[in-house]
Amino acid sequence: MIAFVMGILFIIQFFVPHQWSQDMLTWVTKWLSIIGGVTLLVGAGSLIHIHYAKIKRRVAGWGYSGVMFFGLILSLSAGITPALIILFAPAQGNQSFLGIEGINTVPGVEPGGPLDWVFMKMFNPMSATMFSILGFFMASAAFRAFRARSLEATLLLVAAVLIMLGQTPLGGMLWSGIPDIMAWLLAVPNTAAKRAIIFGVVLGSIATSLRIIFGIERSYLGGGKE
Amino acid sequence: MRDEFRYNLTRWIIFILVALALSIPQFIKFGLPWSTTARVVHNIYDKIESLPEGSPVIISSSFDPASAGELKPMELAFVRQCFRKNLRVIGLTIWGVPAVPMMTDIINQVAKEMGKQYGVDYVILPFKPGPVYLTMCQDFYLAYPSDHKDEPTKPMPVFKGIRTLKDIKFLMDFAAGVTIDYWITYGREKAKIDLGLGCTAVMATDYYPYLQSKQLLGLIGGLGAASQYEALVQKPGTATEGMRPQTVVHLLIIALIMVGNLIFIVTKSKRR
Repeated sequence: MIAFVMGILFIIQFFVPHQWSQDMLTWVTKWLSIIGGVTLLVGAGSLIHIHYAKIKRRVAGWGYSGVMFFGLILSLSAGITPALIILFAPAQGNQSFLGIEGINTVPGVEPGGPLDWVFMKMFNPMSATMFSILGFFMASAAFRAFRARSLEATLLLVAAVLIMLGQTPLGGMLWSGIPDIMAWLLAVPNTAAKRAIIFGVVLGSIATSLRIIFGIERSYLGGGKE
Repeated sequence: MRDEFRYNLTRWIIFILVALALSIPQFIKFGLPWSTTARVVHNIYDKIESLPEGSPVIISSSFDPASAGELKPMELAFVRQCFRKNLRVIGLTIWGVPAVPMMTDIINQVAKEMGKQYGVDYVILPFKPGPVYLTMCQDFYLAYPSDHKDEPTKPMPVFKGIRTLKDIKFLMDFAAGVTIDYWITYGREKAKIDLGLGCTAVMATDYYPYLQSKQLLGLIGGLGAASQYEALVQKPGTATEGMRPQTVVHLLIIALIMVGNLIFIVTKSKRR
């Protein structure tokens, strides 16, 4: 019922520029921000629940869940400990955090603070490393999978080679037509294909939204089809 | 067993070749100037050049360290151009908490270089969960009553004349995800502001339809486009440096594809 009323109301609201309609939107967006904040807690709770269950049942790879808890506790401590210390430390300076004098930002986040250290020295390099590994796998996959087995596959292969050359200054140095061909490939065949995909996805989204609004689709509530 | 050994050996050889192709050009310096700049990249540069001094511009940093290699150089170059043009820069993120320290680092670095004053020439806003882009369309200060230092935003000179998102002259999203979709829906279609996108190379193809529909004014896609932007602002940085390893790795991958196909053709003819 809530989904139905709110769904219909805000479809109408989008087309009504009256002040009442705008005020209603402002009021609801405040609630959306509050709900958004609460979902972070729900997400953290869900993460803890899943990994705790993995450790408890000793499922394959449960050790990684332990690493997750280590990271979680470390990050939480790095963020909370400075705040706790400040609560019991004498005030300095003229700025405040949550009414506590001497602090000009969230404790621990300032450059050189514990949370900043965890982010810059741990999260930053580890995250970049994980993404960088993709380059190695992509090279290996290109060697194994990019085969001219059919006309379509050959066209794909030629397009990929031209794009790869065009993505570097060397393409234009080898032949001035390569950047133009790359621009055409992206702007014409690629755009046509992507537009078709976008239309398909959007029509699907509209259909799903209508199913939710009219109560046909209820799996988002946690249950299956009745 | 023999096949598995051969498979692993080939894989390791490719990995070593990629590692060499990436690391050797870091030490051997050679110039690789762009012969042309892509129109879609130039459009963003031209838009910023056309804005009058003091115009407010939003920089939405929507990436974390995983994509910083591609997106940080283009954001640095873009911020540099904005400050050079004396535009007011408002930095924010709708991506998540990890984007804030990176954005702060990038904007502060250029601001320090160019002698810009916090609160007057630029500001950094905190991450807010929920659809802040929607709230910004109604009231900017309802979405962001305070900056990342918890200081009230409304009295800051950088926000002079700004009431809603509609008062922003240009929004540039540096995105590693789908955040630009929200900016297109609410920023472009609701608030009618001009948008630009800086994204990873792998994402760029997804957003070409929005260029044709003029919902995006321009696009900086990947390290190659970032190095083109660095060339436009005449300040070569890590993207320009990165063109050497990227060129060598792309050539290596093309060579690997050719070798793979040669093996495929020979094997196929032998079977016949």
